[in-house]
Amino acid sequence: MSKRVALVVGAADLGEAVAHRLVRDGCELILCDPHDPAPAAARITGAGAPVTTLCTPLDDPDDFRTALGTTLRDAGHDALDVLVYTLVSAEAFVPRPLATLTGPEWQRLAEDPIRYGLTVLQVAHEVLAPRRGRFVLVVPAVALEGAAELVPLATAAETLRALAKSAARRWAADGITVNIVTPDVFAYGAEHLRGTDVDRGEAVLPGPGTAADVADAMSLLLAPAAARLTGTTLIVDGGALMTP
Amino acid sequence: MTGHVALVTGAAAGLGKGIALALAAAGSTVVVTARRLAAGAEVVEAITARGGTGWATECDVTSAESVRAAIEATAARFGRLDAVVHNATSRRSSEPVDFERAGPQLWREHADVSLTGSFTVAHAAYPHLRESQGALLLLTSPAGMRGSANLSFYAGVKGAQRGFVKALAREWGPGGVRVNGLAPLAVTPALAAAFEADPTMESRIADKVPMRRVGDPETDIGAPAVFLCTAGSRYITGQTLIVNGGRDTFL
Ligand SMILES: NC(=O)c1ccc[n+]([C@@H]2O[C@H](COP(=O)([O-])OP(=O)(O)OC[C@H]3O[C@@H](n4cnc5c(N)ncnc54)[C@H](OP(=O)(O)O)[C@@H]3O)[C@@H](O)[C@H]2O)c1
Repeated sequence: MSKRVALVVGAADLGEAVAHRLVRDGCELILCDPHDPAPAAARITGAGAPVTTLCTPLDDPDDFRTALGTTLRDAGHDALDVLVYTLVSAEAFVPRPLATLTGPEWQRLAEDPIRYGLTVLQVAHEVLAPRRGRFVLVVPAVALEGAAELVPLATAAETLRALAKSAARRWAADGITVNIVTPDVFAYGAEHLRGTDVDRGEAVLPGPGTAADVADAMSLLLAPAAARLTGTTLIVDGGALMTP
Repeated sequence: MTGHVALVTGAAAGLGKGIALALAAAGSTVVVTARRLAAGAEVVEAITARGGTGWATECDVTSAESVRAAIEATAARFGRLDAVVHNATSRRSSEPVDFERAGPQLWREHADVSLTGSFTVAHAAYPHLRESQGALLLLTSPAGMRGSANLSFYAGVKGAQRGFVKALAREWGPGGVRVNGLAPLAVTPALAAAFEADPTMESRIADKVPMRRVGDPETDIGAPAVFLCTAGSRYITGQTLIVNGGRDTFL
């Protein structure tokens, strides 16, 4: 039986943790980032598994379609079983009051990230359909509750969640599921946000959640037992929110 | 409500017009903004004919300068701004989207009005709302919460507004400015025309509504919009009120 092929978009800490987990779960991995995915890929390769990298802009679905197609072919794959989208820029976690943002800053912080996620979602269908694959969107839980001075991040995350649910509705008949994982911001390493509005101190499980914890929870959505789950949101916040 | 000044975007027709009429009936001075000044002026005539006070000014929400000019002109003319209702939505909102193939330009058309537009309107209104301890209200949709197979881009930008409302409400709360959403269902001119063309459409929609009818822009949607714009809701922020006869009960 051939190995499952997984694409992880976003090679920052959380994406790297997800990639590690998928490799441990036996996937052949492609790691994609508009900046350099090579250092993260090298750390995973160092742990014993070959990783294919794809460094490409995500502004335009046609360009991404072409770049991904070439990467898949070169790696000897015809389709994907798993696509996990984790991309969030470090800048998005820097608190900024809305009133202080210029139009171009709003575009860069809120709207460009939406464009990148939408690009990947748009191309995902054709690469996942042949193997009835699974898509997982990972966005910070600030999408669900909002937080002062993180309006662009909350807006972008909630937009992508709505787009992912729309994709879940569209693709269900093709056997593709789309689910969402929302970790708290600290799983992204945003320690500088401790004590700010986003830090409500409401997690009930002891200790801070890590990127590896998020990756483990994400992998539940890829298990055969999760076949009936689509459009759902798994909140990985140590029991802070507990709704709905 | 003497002295309450409210500005509505995309207010020449549909829900924007209904909300403008309802605000005026409740005593607000209503700034009716629209891309075409003449269309806005007609709504002001209707307001005046009923004894209310309104003023029309041009505003294309996809232009930051246009939004700023409309808001500054309002503040200059009336000396205050208490509520801003961002109601405008792209003309393409109800067009099905070929999600997998649609180009970046189509996304921009949706985003320019609802997403960039929400930022622009909020940004320009902030100094005035802060002074008046006022309220910002965004018209959103259950599609933004549930997703939509065919109206996927619309669902995306309406989801955007929900994240925006929650985060901005938390940010502006300490300054006493409120930010809420309203997710309606109501007959607009476009929907009325669709009902005309497809006689069973109205009942197909109404059958999914526990109250068995599609709302009226002024009486059903305008009234709760007035509530969210005025002092009766002064302790409500960061919420989205679903006003659709019980169609959605998941919140
Ligand atoms: N009707 C419903 O049942 C329903 C359901 C869910 C949500 N909503 C929400 O409620 C709001 C109003 O909906 P509606 O049904 O009344 O929509 P509509 O009939 O399509 O009206 C949209 C209005 O927005 C204006 N507009 C479009 N682009 C603009 C721009 N760039 N600048 C300024 N104005 C612009 C249009 O004016 P022009 O004549 O200049 O194009 C029009 O008056 C929307 O935010 C919509 O998402 C409505």
